Amino acid sequence: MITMARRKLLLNLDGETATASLFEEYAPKTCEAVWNILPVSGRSIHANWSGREIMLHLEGDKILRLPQEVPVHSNFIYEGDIHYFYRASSLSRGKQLAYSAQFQRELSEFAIFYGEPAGEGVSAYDPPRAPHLDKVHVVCKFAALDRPIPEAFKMKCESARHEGLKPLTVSRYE
Amino acid sequence: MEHAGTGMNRTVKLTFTEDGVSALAELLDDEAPKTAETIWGLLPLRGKVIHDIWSGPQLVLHLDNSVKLPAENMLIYHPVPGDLFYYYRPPHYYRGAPYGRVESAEIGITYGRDSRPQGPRGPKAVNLFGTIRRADLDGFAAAAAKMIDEGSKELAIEQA
Repeated sequence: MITMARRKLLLNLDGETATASLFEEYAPKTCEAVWNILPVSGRSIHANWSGREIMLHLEGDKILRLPQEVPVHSNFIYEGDIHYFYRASSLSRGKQLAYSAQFQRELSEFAIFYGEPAGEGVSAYDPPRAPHLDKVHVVCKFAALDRPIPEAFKMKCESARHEGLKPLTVSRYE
Repeated sequence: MEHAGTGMNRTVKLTFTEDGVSALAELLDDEAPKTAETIWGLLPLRGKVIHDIWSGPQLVLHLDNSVKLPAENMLIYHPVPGDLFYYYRPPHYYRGAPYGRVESAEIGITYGRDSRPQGPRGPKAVNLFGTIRRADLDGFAAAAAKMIDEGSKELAIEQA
């Protein structure tokens, strides 16, 4: 039997690294789109709605505007999950005021759930402001951090909460 | 309670010491007499305030876990910007290691709309005991929102 090697990501958060495996059987189109924009770098921001999660906003020509590939409600969240998340401009009142001007217009990001408890659905449904309308609010689990997740990487993620934004690069791991 | 029923609420001053941004807040002495009295008695407080990661525009200042208060003037779903509340979580309250198991007594500060006090397993019931004056809220909220980018800050709370 011939099996394809699973493609992997390398995440480098301010010097601490972790690898992740793409869910190509589950969300092939999303994985392919993500793969094609790598590497992506930016300043990661800690979540303030969904627990132990950091986000990397996609900017400029790295912005992805993908359709909902798998049912939203299948995106239940576990530690280590990485989601693609998209929210159209002007959909959410107020929420992104702390972000840069760009993200107040449109949000395209990777959501990396680095610790327990992870969002457990909270971020995926975001009840105050998240109508699940096609091409307006999209969430898709496309990868997961390989286990065991390095403790140093998890601690660096957590430190973003206390120390502020951290540089993050997501690249192909080949 | 000593101050309840006087018709005049006591006032506290909250200051981000590094930014020099302050706000005055009224204690809800009549609605939450035990909580207001206890918090008043703890002042001055000074410590690292951190941004909440479950509740949106909300800050958390941890108290000594010996500060255990009964439910009073409770609020669950709809805080408004400027609300100050007390919350206590006993050990092993939430499923999930290690955070849910950790005992915690906290002051929460809601600084923007659409917040809701909650933890990883859902909404939290909290004791609403104070509210920041409207005139001071915008500046305080702007400083609080900067914590998402800049991390935790030192907050001082004192009798005014």
